[in-house]
Amino acid sequence: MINYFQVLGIPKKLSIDTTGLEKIYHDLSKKNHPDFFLNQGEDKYLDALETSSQINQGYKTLKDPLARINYILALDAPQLLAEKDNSVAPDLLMKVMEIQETIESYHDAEEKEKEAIVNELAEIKEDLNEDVNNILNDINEMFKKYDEAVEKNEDTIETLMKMKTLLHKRNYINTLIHTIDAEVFGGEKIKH
Amino acid sequence: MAYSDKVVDHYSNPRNVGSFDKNDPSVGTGLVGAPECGDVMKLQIKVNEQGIVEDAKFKTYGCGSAIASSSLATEWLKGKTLDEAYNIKNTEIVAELNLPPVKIHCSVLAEDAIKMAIEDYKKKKDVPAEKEAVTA
Repeated sequence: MINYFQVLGIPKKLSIDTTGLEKIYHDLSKKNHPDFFLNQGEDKYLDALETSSQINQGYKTLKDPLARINYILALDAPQLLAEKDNSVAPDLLMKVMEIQETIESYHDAEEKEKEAIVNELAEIKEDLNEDVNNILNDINEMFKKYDEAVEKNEDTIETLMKMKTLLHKRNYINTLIHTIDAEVFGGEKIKH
Repeated sequence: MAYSDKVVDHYSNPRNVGSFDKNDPSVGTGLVGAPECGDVMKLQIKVNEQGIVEDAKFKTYGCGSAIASSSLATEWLKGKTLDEAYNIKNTEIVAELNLPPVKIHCSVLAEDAIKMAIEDYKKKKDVPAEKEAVTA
């Protein structure tokens, strides 16, 4: 089976020029539009349908950095994706639990206590945003490391594992930020 | 997403929500998370001297299925021996709650939390005994 990088004709790298990718996507979509193959027999038409769907899926997956990482993980190290993840440190889970409890306490609090909790959560949120920024920077570093390793034909598994851990950390923190926003600052609720 | 009646029941009326003191030697604590969605689940058991789970409590911050899975788990745990408790399978939770495939990971989370709580309890029990052996 050919992968999405091959479908879109770009090198398998984590750092991608997304503007360039968009142009490639539009060009390929035009060229392979199933309507052009309506009169060329059923086989060709069905092939074009399949190709178009691959192009769409490929573009959707590769334009988003997180989906791109997961896709590369699935290609390079499917065993890593299947593996149970214990890489997130217990102290992070504990921290998540504590912050969730603080958010919950806001609901049960009396009016006069609420202000203090809101202030506390605003501070927590600021710290969390900083954490997310740091994680995104680290992920960017990993992007470079991965691409360099691929160029030099070096092993990438360690980089991929680190990336997966970073992504998971980011998921926990993002959920917290969204929950604080939804429960305390009137943001939109997350849908599960 | 349409939840089954049983999920809705546990979600809107969760059983055994709360915490025990995690430093109590008769308490085992399991803390697990779902890294894909950021849900967290804490499940605790209180074990009596006969090795029976006397009481169980949970706190889950996550979707309805995760809450229902852990709520159901605490109900099932009460009165079980540690071995019986260790054998609770996520597939039983899936069947009981009618969880759709995309929510199976919630039941896995509950099973992991049970196992971690039991291991935590056993570890606590063992550590003082070992210490005695060393000083004796």
